[in-house]
Amino acid sequence: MASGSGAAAAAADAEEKESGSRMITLTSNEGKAFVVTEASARQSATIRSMVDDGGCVDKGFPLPNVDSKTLARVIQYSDEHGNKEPHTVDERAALAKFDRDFIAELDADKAFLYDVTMAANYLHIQGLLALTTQCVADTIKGKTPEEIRTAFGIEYDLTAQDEKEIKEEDTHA
Amino acid sequence: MEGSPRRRKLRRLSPGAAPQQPQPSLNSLPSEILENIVGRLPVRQAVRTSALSRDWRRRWESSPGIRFGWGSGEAGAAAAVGQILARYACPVRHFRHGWIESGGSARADEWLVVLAGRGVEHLALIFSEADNFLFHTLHAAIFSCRELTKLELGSCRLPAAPSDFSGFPNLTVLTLTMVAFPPHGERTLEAMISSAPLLQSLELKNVSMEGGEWDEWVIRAPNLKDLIIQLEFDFLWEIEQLPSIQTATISVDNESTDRDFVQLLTCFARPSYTGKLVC
Repeated sequence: MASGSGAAAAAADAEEKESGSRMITLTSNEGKAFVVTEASARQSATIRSMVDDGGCVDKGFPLPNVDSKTLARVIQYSDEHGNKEPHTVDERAALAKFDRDFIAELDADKAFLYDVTMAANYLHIQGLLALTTQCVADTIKGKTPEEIRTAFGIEYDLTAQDEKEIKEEDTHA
Repeated sequence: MEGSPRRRKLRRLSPGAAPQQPQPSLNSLPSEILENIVGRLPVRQAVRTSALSRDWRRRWESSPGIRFGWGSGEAGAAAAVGQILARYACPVRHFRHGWIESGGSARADEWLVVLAGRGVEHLALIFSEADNFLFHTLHAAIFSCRELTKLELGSCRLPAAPSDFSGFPNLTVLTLTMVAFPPHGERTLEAMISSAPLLQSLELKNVSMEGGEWDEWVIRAPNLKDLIIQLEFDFLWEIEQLPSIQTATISVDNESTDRDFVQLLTCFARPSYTGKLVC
């Protein structure tokens, strides 16, 4: 974790490179404005292409599909990955640890995990989408269908015919 | 008796772990994301998601990115592989079968024909050791897998390359262990290597050429970093121009050759070569 002075230094550093790092306003569907660095916003391919197409950077970007709680969490990820480019082994390890802690916290609240996944998909933040979908995949691995249904709230609605087909397929697999 | 209520209390403290609470449904995610998730599963686990619910019955078939992998000790797998390949509707980038029993050899030909059309990039086919060294000859479709970046073959026989074979232009890793070539197969091997300008790693272990006569052939690989040659017979190979080589292990049974290997390997005696050389 960066110390207070480290964060201040990073902010000053960012301001120095003002031409390359404008501030961008993202607005949640509840009308709450979040001001982020362009580097952070560019983690999103959706916003990146709007900025590069000469979009309305000054007016900011309304995100009608993302609520404030989700957007705040997405920005936490984008700040970490956009504002600091890891150069050393230690920096890369710190970023990997950030990702592990970030996803472990999300995984404990499945509804929120799905919201963040949807936002990552909508905003095209590939790293975040990979992190959340891999998390779900890792949970599925090694579980029986019944355990997966329980873990992910999937309702059992297979007919006897389905079950018969599954059994036939399964004897081959 | 006192222990169990306490344990239940602890569980409730960690959200998501309480089995009594209904979970928000994964099905609320759009199919695009669900396919992304399934594409991250190993193939057997991906196929088994078809038993979750009606929505999931055919989802894995359209989930791109599933890695096909089978290892040893999976009896009957050969029969399943073809069926799963046939049902899967996406490109197959990774395909590995680590232990193909002799009964499954014919099926391996069917897989190769399918894989050649599915853009396979990483391909590993390891056959169980055949009786009397009668290796299964792979289907010539192997030469149509133009997207290959990694190819690993074990205990099988390659057919002669078709006359229109244009190489594996993206190949970076070629590993052949106990692989037999037909007479004059050195030409095929030479073409496989020299048509792969990106090749970084080459391993030839117990590779054999049928027929008693060989032409001289040349290993030419501008980007090769790692080279392992372990042969029981000397097939008159020469090494030419390995400017990127870092490690090399060469061992050829002395009985089979009277060539001067010191001379042959002079290409390693350059100031730029910093790796090890074991002969």
